[in-house]
Amino acid sequence: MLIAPRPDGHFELRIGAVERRFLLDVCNQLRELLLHAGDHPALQRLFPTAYPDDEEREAFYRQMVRDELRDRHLAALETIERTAEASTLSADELTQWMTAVNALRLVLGTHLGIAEDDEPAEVVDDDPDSAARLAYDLLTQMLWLIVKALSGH
Amino acid sequence: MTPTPLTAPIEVDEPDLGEEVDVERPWLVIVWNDPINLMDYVTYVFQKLFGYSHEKAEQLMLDVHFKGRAVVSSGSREKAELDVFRLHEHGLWATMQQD
Repeated sequence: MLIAPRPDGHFELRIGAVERRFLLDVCNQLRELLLHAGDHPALQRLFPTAYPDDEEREAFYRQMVRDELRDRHLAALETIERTAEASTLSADELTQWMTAVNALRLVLGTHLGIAEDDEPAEVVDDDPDSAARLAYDLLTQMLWLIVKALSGH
Repeated sequence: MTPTPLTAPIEVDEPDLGEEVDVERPWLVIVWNDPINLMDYVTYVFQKLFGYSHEKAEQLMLDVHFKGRAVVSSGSREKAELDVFRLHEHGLWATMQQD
């Protein structure tokens, strides 16, 4: 996997077909959750509390921005779906990829109960979450490459 | 003479004093540590959203990571709400409170 800035301001995207298919699948799953199961506990991290000490203001704030926040998450997912086969991306598109990949990590990480920084997962036999752990690691690697490319390192 | 209040003024920052209080005391936008977000990602988001230098953004990220939280911006309630929204859009755990 390679994501690298080009002299023309765009970004070269070399990702295998399997990874691209995987990314499309998980984007699709998250879109379905956002559209049809907005209260799902796995989505909790995508809609954090702004006013933890003020219920009234929190309720008002939530009412004001929740749909907009959901639409931003959906728009980022749509960018990946629209450009899933691309070999180059604009900076705006790659930024949308970054937001979406991070959202996917948050949802998967919440599902997996990731609780400690940088702690490698314990390997157990017949782990029902082993596929999700691989997916999480792949998204982590992808996000790291995207941030590196956008930061111009 | 001033009229005797019906209830004792226990709370100093009641809503009807809110406007004046808002002007004097800025709202702080706080980002909290969480086990999922990547350190490089958090640094990059601070640079991108607030225009901070890499050094400043990285220091804020380290404060979040090691101290558990950091104030990343401040200002009027409207500005703080917008900042919180943009941080939430990027998946960071941000809250706001008055200084």
